[in-house]
Amino acid sequence: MLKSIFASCLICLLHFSVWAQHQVKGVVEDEDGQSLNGVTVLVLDENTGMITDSTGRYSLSVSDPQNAKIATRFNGYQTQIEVVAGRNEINFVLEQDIKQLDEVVISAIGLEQRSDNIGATISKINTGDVVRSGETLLLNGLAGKSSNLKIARSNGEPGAGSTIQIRGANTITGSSSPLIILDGVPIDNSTTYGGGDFNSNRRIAQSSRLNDLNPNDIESIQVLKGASAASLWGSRAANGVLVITTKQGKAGQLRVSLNSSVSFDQVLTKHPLQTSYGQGDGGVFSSSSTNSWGDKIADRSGEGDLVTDQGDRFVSDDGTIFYPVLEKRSRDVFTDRNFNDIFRTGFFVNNNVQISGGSLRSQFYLSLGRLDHEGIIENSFFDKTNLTFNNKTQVSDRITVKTKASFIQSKANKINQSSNVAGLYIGLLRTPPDFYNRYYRGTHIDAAGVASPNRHRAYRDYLGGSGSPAYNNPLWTIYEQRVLSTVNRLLASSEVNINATKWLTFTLRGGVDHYGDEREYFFPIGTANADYNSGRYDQDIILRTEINTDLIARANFKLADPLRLSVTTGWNFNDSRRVFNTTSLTAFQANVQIATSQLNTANENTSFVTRKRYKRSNRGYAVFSFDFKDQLFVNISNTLEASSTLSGNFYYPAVDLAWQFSDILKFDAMSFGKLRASWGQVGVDAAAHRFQTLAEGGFSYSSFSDPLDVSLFGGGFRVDDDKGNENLRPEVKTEFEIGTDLRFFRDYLSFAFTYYQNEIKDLLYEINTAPSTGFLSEYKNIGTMENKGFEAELTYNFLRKKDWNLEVYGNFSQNRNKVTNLFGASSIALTGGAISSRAVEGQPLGVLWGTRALRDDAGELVLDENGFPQLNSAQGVIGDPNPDWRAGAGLKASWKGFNLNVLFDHSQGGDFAERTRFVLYRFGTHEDVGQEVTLDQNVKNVNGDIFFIGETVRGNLADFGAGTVLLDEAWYTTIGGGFLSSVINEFSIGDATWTRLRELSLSYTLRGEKFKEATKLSSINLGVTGRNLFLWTSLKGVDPEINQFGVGNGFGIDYFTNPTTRSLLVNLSVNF
Amino acid sequence: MKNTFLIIGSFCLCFGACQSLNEGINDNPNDITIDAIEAQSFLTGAQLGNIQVQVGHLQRISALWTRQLIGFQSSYLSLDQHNITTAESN
Repeated sequence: MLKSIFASCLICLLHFSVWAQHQVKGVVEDEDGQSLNGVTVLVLDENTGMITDSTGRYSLSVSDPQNAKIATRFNGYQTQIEVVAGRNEINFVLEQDIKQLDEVVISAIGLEQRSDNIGATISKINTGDVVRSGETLLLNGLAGKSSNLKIARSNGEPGAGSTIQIRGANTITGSSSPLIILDGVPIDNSTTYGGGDFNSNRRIAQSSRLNDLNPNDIESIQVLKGASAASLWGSRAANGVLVITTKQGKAGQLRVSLNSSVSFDQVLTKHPLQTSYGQGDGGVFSSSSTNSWGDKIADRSGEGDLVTDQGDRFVSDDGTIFYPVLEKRSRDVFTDRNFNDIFRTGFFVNNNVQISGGSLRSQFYLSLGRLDHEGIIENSFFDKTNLTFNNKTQVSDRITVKTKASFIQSKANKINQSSNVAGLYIGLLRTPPDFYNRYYRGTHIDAAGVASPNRHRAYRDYLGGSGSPAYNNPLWTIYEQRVLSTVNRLLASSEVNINATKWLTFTLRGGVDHYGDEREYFFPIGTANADYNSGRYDQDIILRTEINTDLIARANFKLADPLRLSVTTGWNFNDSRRVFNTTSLTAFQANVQIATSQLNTANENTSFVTRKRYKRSNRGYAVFSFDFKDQLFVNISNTLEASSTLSGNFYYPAVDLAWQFSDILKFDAMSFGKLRASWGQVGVDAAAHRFQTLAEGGFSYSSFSDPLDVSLFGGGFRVDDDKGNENLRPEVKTEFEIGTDLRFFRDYLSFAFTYYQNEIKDLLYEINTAPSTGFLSEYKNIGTMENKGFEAELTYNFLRKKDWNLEVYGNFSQNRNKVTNLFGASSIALTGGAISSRAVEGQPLGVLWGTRALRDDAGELVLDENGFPQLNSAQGVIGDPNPDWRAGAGLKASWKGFNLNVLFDHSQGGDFAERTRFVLYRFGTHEDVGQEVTLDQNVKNVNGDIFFIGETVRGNLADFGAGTVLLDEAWYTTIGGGFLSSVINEFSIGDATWTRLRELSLSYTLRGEKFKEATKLSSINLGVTGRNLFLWTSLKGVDPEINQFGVGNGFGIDYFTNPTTRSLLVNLSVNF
Repeated sequence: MKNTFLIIGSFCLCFGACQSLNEGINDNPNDITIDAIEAQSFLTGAQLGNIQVQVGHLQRISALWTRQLIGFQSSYLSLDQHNITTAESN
């Protein structure tokens, strides 16, 4: 800095000493059209030059008006050279020098480091790419952008949370989310279920808290993958770290930029349904049947249905009357209408205003963002407002103070889904093609003329007579029920940097992350599910506060030339409190839509549960960084941590080594080469409050029909059957990695490769104990697991001309996980359900577990006498949802003002449990079971019934190994389709391989002097982006990224889970 | 040089973690400790446990197997035939 100021002064002096012969003036701007203040503009070979003023202007005189060359120099931007060629005005547009900016990375404790000096694996994600992707949720914007970074959205509802995992699974029962560090301060990224969302099989798509951040406010995102980069965070670091830095104002002119986008969303995948057969069983229509194995619709007479007005009837809210059907005659098919009544084109408007500027001593950044998102499902929405303020002030020559604060408010309505008969897809997809869902609410009048208003009509109760249809009408799910969530969050931090001496710096930092999430679950009287049928209102209040402080000292020493040492020591204190209160009210006494405690004031219909969680930790750390000849770098980190959930202090060491071998071994093509190796230990914290064995109330003996419930005997306590454990240790991951960073052709080609392997010991879970101990289970450090894999990233800027720029980029990753020892636990369930995702010894974490087909020792199917597979009710591993490898590849092209970006994302291998398809087979609504076959031979069905050659029957032909058999209603409604454990769930497993066109975007930027004069604007950018436009997968009707169980360690299962989206986005940004 | 090492040494002294700061934080705020509950409140639980043992499911099994009772249908039929599941043995 000093050097450049000195140089500029010198240039200014020189400038006045030269006589003017030819005057050249102009303006220097950046790519956004903002004028740049302080740029050095030089006349080459003439020793003249000057610095641009606050409006970016310069004026120079040159002695040779034809051949003189003018060059610009500005830190962080590329140098440009222009030949004067007689001109009097030359304007410059400087491009940011990304490579120069790339050199700096932010460490896990928020300090700047030179990336070339680090031996750990760090991936940087360009935030321009995240913003351009048009994802309003930050997490989804990161998908496909880095190797071994898995982002999977739980479904396509606006605001839905995403699972994020770096280098596979590192824990069985703990959280797999990496630690998020925002400007040096850890922030929460939990996705909270429970409370009113009490059943894990039917989780609502709750939000992930990282998505509260506004992507437009972010300057850079780094992914610290390995143990050594993260080890300073001790027991919070095993899942890696995402380091996020927010934007900071720049000195100079006030910059204002406006950014608006609109997006149109559509359902990405649609379950294919049959439209040939009506409600009923055995080929006969029945209006009370659960299934669509009824008559062939085309064979009906086509007149109106024969009904009777004797008996009960249903009067819909709009006056339409339904009578009991005596004979179904209508050929109307409602499949598309039923679908279109539910789904619409989703739409969002996202507006952002950013204002920044300041003086050389104090700079600020202010931003306001507002998102209004209407989901693809009617009535679902997600709105968010972000307000951010950052300031950096140099108080004196030695002291700098940074302050950041942001406030976020979001509101959402989510739609009930998955294994919930009051969910959306169960009602919709099981509806027979000849049933119209539109008239879902009205008055039921029985044969005696007694009217019951506000009745729920659905296909299993088409006259609304019961008050409790077995499955919801999907319109009831979206219009009568609601799952609201209102989040208010405050993130604030302050940092003081003191440069005590030339070699010693102190940093004091404090931060707070506080939010409240108020959720309202409302189910009116008449909702299908027994839990909600008499009306249910749950209110969740989740309050979480995390306070974090850091004291850091850094010192640089010259030990013995050329060996330098820098020492960083610090102390961190972190305290987090979460209170999660749920109040539930059941059995409404009024059939209204207002959520109030007046709905039932009786004490026995109200329940209150509070779950508190307090954690506190403090850690001291010391990092010794040796630098030999600016070529060999060794970092040794030591962390000692005391966490409230663990007993004792735990030490986390890490060493990394980087060798810039290109300093010695020089090749023409290679501009930079580094070898790196690292070793480190990191941990996963134990769950809170597990030290003590406590008293428990509310217990019951005997699981038979004679329960001995303590609350029915006046209440009381017993000693909890889960034993406390005072000797909890962290789950410790020890990782070794080796890799290289190479850059070729003057840095136009860069390549990084890393191989890693790790072992996680002392995995925590509840293991069953011998009942003779007096306890049934104990939470213990017991299991082991390992991961091995490699990852590679490449960018190649293969064409770079004045107007043209072409770059290809890609990443590849592979992770092999194995649960090596569970010490006697046969398997640990990560999810519920008839197909669950589990930890099984000798298998990768998350394997799918369920009922299988009977097989012999050779693995061949054991067929029954009719040639059909048989059920093996003993459950076992039926699939592995972990992919074999993943890759992303893309192209960036620019020509003049046009920019094109294409990104493909691919996941190879792995299994997926398509339970929706499999269950729809049983209900007879899936397209696969709506086919007819004309037999060319005699075949048997599963019951042994013979169908003769020439017959046309509904079903499919298959061969399990004993000749062709007929799969018909008898097969699909017994063991070949359906739910629970009485079906061969193995047959619902499909291949999870997918490829998607994650992003396709095209934009055009308008800027320049003439444009500025005409419009008074610096620049305008207009872009169009397509998100998830195409998905190629062998699975029908489902995006293999979704997960019935939302955000968690278990995955790879769909069960009537709401679909994902494709989007088209138009974006306009204006810079003043 | 001597000073340098002195400084580095003093830096390392700052390095440490303190368990006393976490005192009491991990005490469970959601459940009641055994000591805090009056002894009589455990009595109901113990009595229920006793009922379960004396006249509960296991007692019924022993009555079945000693032919004092006969299992007639559903799960009692299978218990009568000495088919037990993990629910009975754990």
